[in-house]
Formats: sequence, C-alpha cells, structure tokens
Amino acid sequence: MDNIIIQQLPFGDESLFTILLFYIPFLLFLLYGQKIQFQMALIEIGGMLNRLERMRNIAKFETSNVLRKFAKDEKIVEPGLNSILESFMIMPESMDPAGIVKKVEHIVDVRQDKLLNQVKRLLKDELEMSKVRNIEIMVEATMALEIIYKVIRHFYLLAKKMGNLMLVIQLQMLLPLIYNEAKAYLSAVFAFKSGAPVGDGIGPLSVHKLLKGEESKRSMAKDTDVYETSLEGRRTYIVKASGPGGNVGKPSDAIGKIIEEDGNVKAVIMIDAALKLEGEKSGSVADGIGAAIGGIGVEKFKIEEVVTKYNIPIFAIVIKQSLPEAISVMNKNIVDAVEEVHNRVKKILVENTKEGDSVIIAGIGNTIGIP
Amino acid sequence: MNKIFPLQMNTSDFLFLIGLVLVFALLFTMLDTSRRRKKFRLELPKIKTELQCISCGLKEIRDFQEDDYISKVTGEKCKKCGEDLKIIAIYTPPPKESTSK
Ligand SMILES: [Zn+2]
Repeated sequence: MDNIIIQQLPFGDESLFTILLFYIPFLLFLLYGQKIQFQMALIEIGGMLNRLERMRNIAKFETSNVLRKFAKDEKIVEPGLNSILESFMIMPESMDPAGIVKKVEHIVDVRQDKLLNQVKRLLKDELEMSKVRNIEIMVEATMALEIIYKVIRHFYLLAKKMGNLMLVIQLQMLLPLIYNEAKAYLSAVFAFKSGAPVGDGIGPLSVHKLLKGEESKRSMAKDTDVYETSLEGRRTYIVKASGPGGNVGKPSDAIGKIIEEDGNVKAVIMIDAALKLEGEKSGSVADGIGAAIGGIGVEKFKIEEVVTKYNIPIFAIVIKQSLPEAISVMNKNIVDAVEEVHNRVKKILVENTKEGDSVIIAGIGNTIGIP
Repeated sequence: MNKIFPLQMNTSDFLFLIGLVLVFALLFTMLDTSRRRKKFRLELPKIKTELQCISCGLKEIRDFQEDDYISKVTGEKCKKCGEDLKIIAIYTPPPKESTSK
C-alpha cells in the first residue's frame, strides 16, 4: 500500500521523511489555516494601530504646542486639552422626527460655542479672534484623530480577546480607508496651524474673488458676512463666512434674511467643494440644481425651506476634490478652478435672470485664510 | 513512471527545492510586512504665497509666512515701482496622483 503511494509521487526516492515533509504542511494549513490567518491579520492591524497612535500623538503634540505658545498659563493647557478631547455630543432623539432639525441645530450650536469658549479660556485674552478660531478647528481635527484611534483600538482589542476572525477581517478590510482618512485629518492639523486656505475653502475663495474690494460688509448672521455688489447688471449679494479665521458660519440664516429683506431675489447660487470620485480630476467644476452644502444637514434643510417658500430657483456649482485635499492646504489644481467657477456663475446669471434682478451667491465652506 | 516524469529527482534534490521555496516565501513575507509596517512618514508640501503689485500688476511668488491671508496687503514693496503688494493666492503644488491623471 505504502509503496503504491510512493510510486505515484514525482520523485524516485522512497524516504518516509520526504513524504512527511510534503504532507505535514498541507495538513497544518488545512487544520490551522484560519488560526494562522487570524494571527497574520492581527499583526497587520497592530501595525496600523501603532501608526494611528503615532498620528494622534503628533496631532496632540502640535496642538498643545500651539496652545502653549498663546496660553494664559501653560499649566492649564494639558488638562484643558485633555478634557476637550474627551468631550462628547449626544444627538437628539429621532423617534418622533417632527422638529428634529431645530433640536439638532441647537445641540450643534451649543457644542460649537462651548468648544470655542473652552479653547478661548486657555488662551490669552488679547489674542485676535481669527487665531482663536484656527486653534479651535485644530483642536477639532485632533479630536477626530483621537476618536478614530480609540474606536479602532477598541475593535482590535475586542477581536483579540474574543478570537473573532470575522471582526479581524472586517477591520483589515476597512483599515486602509480609515488610515487614509486619519492621514487627511493629520494634514488638516498642520493646515489649520498655518492658517492658509484649505481645499474646502474654494467656495469662499471663489466668491471673494468676485468682489472688487471696495464693497462694505454687513454681518447678517452668526459669523457670516454679506457684501453687495453688481455682476452682469444684477444686484448681487455675496454670502460667506467671516474670515480669515477658520469658520463656516451660518449661510442659511443670511440667505433667509436677504430673501425677506430684498423681496426681488430671482436666483440663489451656491458654490461648494464636493467629494470627487476616484479617477475624477481634482479641481474640475460641475454645475447643477439644489442646495450645495455639506455638514450635518441643518443648513441644507433651512436653505431648501426658504427657497421653496419664496419659490426661488437654486443653482449649485461644485469644485471636485478628495477628502485629503479638502482639509489640507489648497493646492494649485483647486485654486485654478476659480476662473471656471466665475464663468459658470456668469452663465447661470445670464441664462436665468434679467438685468435689475437680485441674486444671492453663497460661497460655502471653511473660510480659513480668506477674509 | 519514467514516461510520465522523465526528470528523475532524489531526496536531496527535492529537499533543496523545498528549501528554496521556503526561503523565497520567507523573503517575500518579510518584504511585504516591512512594506506594510513601514514607519509612517509625514510629508508636508511647501506652501507658496503669490503676491501682486496693486499698481503695475507684477507678480511675485515667495514661501508662505504665518498670518498670510488672501487679499492681505503685507507691507512688502514692488520691486519695479515700489507700490504695495497684495496676496492674491496661497497654495501648495498639485499632488502627484492628480497630475499624472
Ligand atoms: Zn509694481
């Protein structure tokens, strides 16, 4: 019997040792393949987790350095920053969704105010507001990294403890994506530290470049400025968050107020950065219909409410970019889109409104580095 | 037997072959893990500030300095006519992936 098997093997020698050498690894993989795969995946995730931890530490280090540089008292920085990083927000209950937008808005506003105040309390009183805002969004990017790291560590430790292969495989599949996101947040920390415009600021930058420079501004909503100018013979209201501190403002409130105050608004054009699909060119421009604004949805809801109430057409122009580009310092490809955006704005104005009409052009996005 | 496998192998040849395969497998795994576990390095692109003279329109590009923002009149003077310079753009060079596309 043995001889027959041996004779069928592709070698002339008949040593038992050779057969063992051939079959034992085979059996090993058959019986313990899953365990081996589990350990290999765990090692890989462990490596990623280390990198995430390093990124979080770099972000924390940079943020606390900046905080210390402008701090009232260096001793309160470390505990202050840690308490901010540990803070959380509870979203309102949506079981009865009527009126939930107001509740979400309230909670988000309170969180925003609290965060800004917490940061402000750590810093010198005479520090200008734009600097405080930049530091505040730096803290927010650090918070994002902290949360990513903590959640991944949670699942890693859980999977290890339970010996759960499926959990590990899911982590292994998702981690490269999460890692890219974390990298984006880390570069955001540095962008906000420098105070230079980020990719998401292309909306505010585009509308800022529509201004001639001598228009006076009015603050029509919290952290939101409105300029009045003339474009193609149309009375044009330019809406953007107040810069050059990092800030998104409340464009919906400003748009609502202008529409009610002017009474002759014939179009609302929103300019915003949009996430591109992989393979699309960054900085490419597209236009369409609807409220182009991201975030938690409150602003979008309010703008849609008011334009529907007054039956005003709403147009959107988006500038495509990846998430890392949107929260890193604006790159040349995106800056160069401004001209194309202006062409589209003019085209929409000419095709959809008459001379003498009023129009609103809102630049949506983070206005860091753009006054 | 000889017809199906014309190439005759003895144990030492076979062991040598397995050894070779093992060595290669080990090498590849090590290369792969070292590539994946490569220390994460942070590369920050250089930020450039583009200024323009408000009277003659001469453009100038320099490195970004803290507290630069769009439309800021920085106090630097034009090399040609001595007028004020104004910041017209702040950007980093385009990332490599998107330029190749
Ligand atoms: Zn000049």
